[in-house]
Amino acid sequence: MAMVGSRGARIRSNVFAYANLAPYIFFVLFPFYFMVVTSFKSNAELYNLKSIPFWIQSGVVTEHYALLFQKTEFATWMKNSLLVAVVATTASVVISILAGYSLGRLRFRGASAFGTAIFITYLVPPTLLFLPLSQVVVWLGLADSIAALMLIYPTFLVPFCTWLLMGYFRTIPREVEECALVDGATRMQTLSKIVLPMAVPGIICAVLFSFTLCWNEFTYALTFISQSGHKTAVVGVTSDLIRGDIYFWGSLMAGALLASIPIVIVYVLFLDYYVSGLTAGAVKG
Amino acid sequence: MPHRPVSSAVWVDIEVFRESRYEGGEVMIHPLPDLELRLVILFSTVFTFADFNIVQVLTRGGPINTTHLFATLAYQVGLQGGNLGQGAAISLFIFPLLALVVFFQLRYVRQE
Repeated sequence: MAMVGSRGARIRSNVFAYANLAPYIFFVLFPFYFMVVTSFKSNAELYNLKSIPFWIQSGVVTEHYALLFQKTEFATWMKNSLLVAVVATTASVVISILAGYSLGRLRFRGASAFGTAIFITYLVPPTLLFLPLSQVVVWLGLADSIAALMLIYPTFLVPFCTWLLMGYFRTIPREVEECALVDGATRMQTLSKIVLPMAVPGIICAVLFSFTLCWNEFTYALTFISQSGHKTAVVGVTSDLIRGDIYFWGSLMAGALLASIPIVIVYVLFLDYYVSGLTAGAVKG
Repeated sequence: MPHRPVSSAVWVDIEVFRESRYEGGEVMIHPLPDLELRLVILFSTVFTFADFNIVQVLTRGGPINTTHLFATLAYQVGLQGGNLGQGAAISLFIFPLLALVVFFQLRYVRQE
């Protein structure tokens, strides 16, 4: 009945939908637009109060990017970020798959208490933890190295991923696993051959979120690391391009822009898998 | 505090929505369930209290310590000032609020 609406009504409802979205899109994309514009502007124009900040009037310059790559260790920061994010995400997702499966499926004493405990750790913010953890890092002899971050990031990734995957494993029908178990598969075989292929969308989701969290992490990366060559991109850009009261705005924006690209790539790459994983599950189900 | 979803979905009953459309309503915004709304408010309040990144990047607590939050003050006193115990005490001031959040969140999760 709702579909019988006239063409005019349909257009009107479309216009309405897009009009609703427009402020949101504007709000979300504006920072990126401003980063692009600022990073390509000459300093003379940036500091000229009479110029209009929203577009480039006096020509595009790439000096901010040059400064970023020649005068700072931006390439190293990006490499560090990538290394930390990949290692921490991989470790966390592997641990979380095992933990999430046990908590979601196996019946053992204290399973629900464990679930609750994980949920609570997930709610404790890094703000409360960075002081004690910085001491732990020093004790372990990892102070001022990216290994410290690889070790510490799983402390917030594992609870998050476990919680997410626990829910996902519960949606997989128990009967499928029971078939495998009856046919003589061990628990681990059931997990790796039956459950994991069905849980691909959930795992991709965990990987995506973990990677983003690692990449954007600021508190630990700032407090554990002081040597410039060991910083991650997010911290390096904000700490080395703000010197006292001097802000290198152009290079800051250039760095922020370049540092946000890997996240975009990862999302584009994995969202395809994510969607195809979802539809594959639908056909099987 | 990035990506800490309180709940994955706020359920709006699609039938209720359709019904209002049939009756000539243009759009109906379903009120958030009361509990959920309170939870979101509590949650975002506490994580604003516990924020570190924005303050650290923009002002570092300055000028003359006028823009500190717990975390940035704890960082300044505990790590930069080397007074670890006092820094830990400052950051623990978030704890009572956090305990409240954990309590309500747990109750909410149990309800689901």
